[in-house]
Amino acid sequence: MLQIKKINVSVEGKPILSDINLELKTGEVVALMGPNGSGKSSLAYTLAGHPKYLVDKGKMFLDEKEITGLTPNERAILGLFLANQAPVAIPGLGIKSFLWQIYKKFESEKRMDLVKFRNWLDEEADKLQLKNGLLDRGLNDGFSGGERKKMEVLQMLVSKPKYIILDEIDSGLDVDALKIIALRVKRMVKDNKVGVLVITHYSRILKYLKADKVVIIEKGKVKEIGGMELVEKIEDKGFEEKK
Amino acid sequence: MSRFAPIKEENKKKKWEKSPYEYGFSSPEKYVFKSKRGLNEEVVRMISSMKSEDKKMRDFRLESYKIFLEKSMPTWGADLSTIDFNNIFYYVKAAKNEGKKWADVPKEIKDTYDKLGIPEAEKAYLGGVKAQYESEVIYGSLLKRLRDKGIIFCGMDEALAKYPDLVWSHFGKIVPKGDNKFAALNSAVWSGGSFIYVPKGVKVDLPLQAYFRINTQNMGQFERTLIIVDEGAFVHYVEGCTAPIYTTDSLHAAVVEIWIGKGARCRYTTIQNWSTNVYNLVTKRAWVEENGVMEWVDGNLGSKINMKYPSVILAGKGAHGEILSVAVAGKGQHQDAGGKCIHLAENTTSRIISKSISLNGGRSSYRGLIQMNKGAKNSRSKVVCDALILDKESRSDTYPTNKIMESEVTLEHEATVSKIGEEQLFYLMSRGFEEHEAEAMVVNGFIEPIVKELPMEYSVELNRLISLQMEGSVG
Amino acid sequence: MKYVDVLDQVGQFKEVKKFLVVSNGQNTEIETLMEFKAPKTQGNTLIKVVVMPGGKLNLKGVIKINKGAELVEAFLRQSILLIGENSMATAIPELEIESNEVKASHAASIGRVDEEQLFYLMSRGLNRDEAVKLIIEAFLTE
Repeated sequence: MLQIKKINVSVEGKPILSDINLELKTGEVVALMGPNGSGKSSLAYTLAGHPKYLVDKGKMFLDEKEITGLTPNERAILGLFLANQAPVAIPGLGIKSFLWQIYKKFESEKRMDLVKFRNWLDEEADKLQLKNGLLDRGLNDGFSGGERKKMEVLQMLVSKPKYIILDEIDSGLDVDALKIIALRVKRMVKDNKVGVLVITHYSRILKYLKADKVVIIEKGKVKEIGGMELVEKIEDKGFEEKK
Repeated sequence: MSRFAPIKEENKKKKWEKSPYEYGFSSPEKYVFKSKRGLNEEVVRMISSMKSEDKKMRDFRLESYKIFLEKSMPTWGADLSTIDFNNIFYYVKAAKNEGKKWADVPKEIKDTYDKLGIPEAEKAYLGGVKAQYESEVIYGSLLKRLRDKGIIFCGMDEALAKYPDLVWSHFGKIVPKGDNKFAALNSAVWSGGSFIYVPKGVKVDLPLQAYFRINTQNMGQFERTLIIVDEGAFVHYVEGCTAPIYTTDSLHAAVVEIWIGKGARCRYTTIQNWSTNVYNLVTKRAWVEENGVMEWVDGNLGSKINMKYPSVILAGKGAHGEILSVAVAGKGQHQDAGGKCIHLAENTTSRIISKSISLNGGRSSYRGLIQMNKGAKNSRSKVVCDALILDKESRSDTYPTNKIMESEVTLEHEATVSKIGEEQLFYLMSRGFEEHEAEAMVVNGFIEPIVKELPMEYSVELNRLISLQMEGSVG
Repeated sequence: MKYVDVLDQVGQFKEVKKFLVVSNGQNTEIETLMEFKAPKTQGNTLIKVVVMPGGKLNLKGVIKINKGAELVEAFLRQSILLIGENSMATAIPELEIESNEVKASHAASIGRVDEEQLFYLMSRGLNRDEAVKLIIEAFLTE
């Protein structure tokens, strides 16, 4: 279980999240929704350990282990994966060897050899409908928004995390791409009991990836917690009603 | 101080420090001949007579020495004030086994060789323990193949003796003895270096490496290299290596001259990693005839002070020059590197890509010149210089000069200086990599456009060397 | 002509824009220096010069970021348009950076009137001189 216990977070002295409580179990899908500027992405970065986001009060736990003071890589090794909203590009960083390095970090027993790994990569990239030749480029170098999101998913498949945070993965994706990604994540939930925190302000992705719990956040605070019925309410009336 | 979570002391392997190359030989050096310290006319004459040279070269040396005395030190560039010309040995002819023991090679260097996975035979050579690379068995047949095609590849001393007309057709013409103080010095006391002649239309299919020349003293202080690529021919020459070269010589002033005939092409790759007691001041220039191509691939890692600006003179119509340069300046180092392209003829093109990194108080400067003379109509040039400064103590400079005397041309120049992006670091760390691993990945990605032009073994070694530097486990 | 701008107050922002013409036979030297001494400063320099036939330009531009000047953003652009015969220019954009929390970049371009643009304007009825004049005006406006 991923637990956030009453955290207060600030950025450069400015408070952006207050008294946030959240639980995500393995095999569970939790949707985090809210209007722009509500603090959704801030929560994602805080969980992942981004240096700009300081936890002033409260604690976070991953499978009972406290992660509040850990570095981003320590959290990743424990099984946390953040799929970024706007993944950065790192020109010159060859994707294939990058993914191989990640693979070696996370898979110690029963490892594929390099050749098998590359073939497997090509297959998965195909299933995600990533253009041929893209994997020969530098990381996200010249990639469209949609291609970058797919790269995030590909990395997920390599490191096999326990808990995934999808930060607005639906923005900038066309319907087909969204469906592919959502179904892929759904499979990970079903087969590997991955816990998923879906951050979004549209309900589109939830059509394919049903949430067990829906959390509404606004102005840095949790407003309401419920089930999928909340999603319908938002679709009808938007976020403004939720005051 | 790490920005990422509370610092854990055991994780903080960030500092890169090269320890001073303190060494002492337990056994006295054994030399066949060693000149006294310092330079005067007598030393120059003696060098010439030790090599049994004819009057023409002896006079060339003596004239050069006079010019060296007259010329003043450059007022720009790195700080050369601590060079003591009187405290240097200008000529040493080493015995077969120099008397250096493997035990005397500094531990940091041996560790680096281990970490880079350098084969045993090469380690001894690189460590200065063996004066020659005993490669007769491996390379003997290769050299024969070259000779059969009419290619000449030998030491400069040998070339002067065997092919004087060919050598004098270009020797001292592309880099004249009066070009600058250090070219004058080299012209007076040069010893060793390579000579390559590639006949018309011959394309040398594998890179020629300096250590193929098994009977000549390599990596000398005052190497003189001359490469002549006749019409339509091609050659790729590689010198140096990424592993740190341990040397007691503190002043290196080499000269490289390259002549490229019509439609010919030459690529010259250098990776320099001299120990940090060395002043490396090199004059490298190529003269390119019509439709010829010159490519300099220049890796600058070592030395205390490195001043090197590979140049291309685009003398014939349609000639093209490229300079790809990477420089890494660590603690106590000043890399002053770049390139020069001089467009003399119409339709000539040039491209300079420079990537430099400064860390731990190092200083990396790009110094370049693009000149287009009147008459160089329809010429184009593009220069891109990017620099990474990794910490507060380090420094980066860019000194480009663009001198255009012809209106029918295009010149573009761009430069950026920045640190490693925090977002990039966070991203990589969130994938499980430690901070220093992430930094190394970004840095290697930064220099990738140059590194991918290096022969494979070099590029692998270079990436690993940089990763080691960032980890702080070397030195 | 020398233009010196120093940013020594935290949070300062400066923008320098100079558009000039070097006339026939004129010999002009321009030097700009933007020095960053304080943190969180931002400075942009844009120099655009048209060099007429027989004119000569020496343009030097320096961006200097001192130690301790963190979170600085500095940009310098030198654009030179050479017209006709015997016009010459030397452009020297320099950077001296001693702080690493910076974003500094510069760009220099030297070129001639774009043939495509010329053709386009002439195809609209302008003669060559008129077209060149328009292009120069546009160059000096942006």
